[in-house]
Amino acid sequence: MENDINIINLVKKGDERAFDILVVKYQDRLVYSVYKFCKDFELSQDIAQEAFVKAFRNIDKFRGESSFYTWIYRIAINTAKNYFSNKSRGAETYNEDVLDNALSDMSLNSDNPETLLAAEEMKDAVNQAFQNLPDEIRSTLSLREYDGLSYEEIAKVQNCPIGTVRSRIFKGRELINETFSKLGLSKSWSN
Amino acid sequence: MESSVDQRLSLLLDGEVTEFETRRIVEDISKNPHIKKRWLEMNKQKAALRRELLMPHLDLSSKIQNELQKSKKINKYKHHEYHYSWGKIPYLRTCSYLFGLCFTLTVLFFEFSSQPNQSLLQASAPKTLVSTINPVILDDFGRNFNGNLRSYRYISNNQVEANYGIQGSNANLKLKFFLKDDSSKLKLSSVSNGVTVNMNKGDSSMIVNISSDKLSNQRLITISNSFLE
Repeated sequence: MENDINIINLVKKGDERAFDILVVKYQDRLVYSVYKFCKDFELSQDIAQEAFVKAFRNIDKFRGESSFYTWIYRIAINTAKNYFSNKSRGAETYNEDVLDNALSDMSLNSDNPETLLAAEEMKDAVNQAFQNLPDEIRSTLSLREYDGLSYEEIAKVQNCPIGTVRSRIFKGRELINETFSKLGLSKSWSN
Repeated sequence: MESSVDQRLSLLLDGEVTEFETRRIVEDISKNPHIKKRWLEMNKQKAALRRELLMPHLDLSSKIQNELQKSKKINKYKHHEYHYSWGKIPYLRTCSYLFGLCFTLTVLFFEFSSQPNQSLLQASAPKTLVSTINPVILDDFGRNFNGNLRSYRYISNNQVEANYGIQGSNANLKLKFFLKDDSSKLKLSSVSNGVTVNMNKGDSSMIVNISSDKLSNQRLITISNSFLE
């Protein structure tokens, strides 16, 4: 589970800059999740944006019983459901089975193939770079990124100091970023 | 330096920073565009690694910030509007009530003070026949000439007419009472027959005209004299 409690506490105190940190952190994941059932680029962005605004306004209701992402994901899904209910246009595009199956693969049948291609290219490059990482670093980063373990839990699993976990994860990210720089992919979001 | 920043961002990405450090990084990201860019890149990279990257150029943060600022302004406006518009209504209502109450009390006060006191009116003689001549008095008048009061009517506040039947005969007698005031001449001009006398009844000076279709003038004079006695 992501530990955003310190950032959320700042947001609860009215720090919008801290909320911006959360937006950057979860926007891609949230838009991706919404896109999986609405199949509309613009709409998935709008719904995610509205979910973030609602989350900010209701941040005091967040009690930390689930992760921030789980909480905002529910907000986004309810926002999407309301949208389709209000517009009465959900019959063809809205599919709860697809919605609930959040891990299903994204369809590439999109009206924006260039964007999707760039995204796919990026994902492939990152995953290729990930596969090329030294074993120790890759396994540590994998426990973090795919299994969601905390540094302390990884340290226990790998039987190593927490400092080693910290440096391995950082090193892994640095190496992936180098691959990005070599491929010039980082320009995609820098421009 | 850059490595140190990246390291801190990496820790923030994993939620492995203290509250104090979180505050520092939030401050740094908001102030330094380079650090902000690195933060965005690291998150894109993470999303790509998890295969959750849909749009490489996506950045909702500025839109969301704008939206939050906009709603803040609206809230501020609503707050302002409440205080200076809606908030005025209870105030204006209270003022209206107070004004209305004052106005009503003032009107009531003046109305009360200008209303005549009935007992005072009678004691100080409002000089109207209506208040002086009543059926009992009219009946008393009839006893002077063995007359039974048959009917009476108030022609005006200052003029009363009474009809009597004389006992033991079929003659009728009419008495007209006028309050003596500035219009007496006009009233007397309306009397064409019978006997007219001036008399006092209590504080009121009045004129009485006595007329009958069958009684002689002499008889009428005798009756009028009985009034004067």
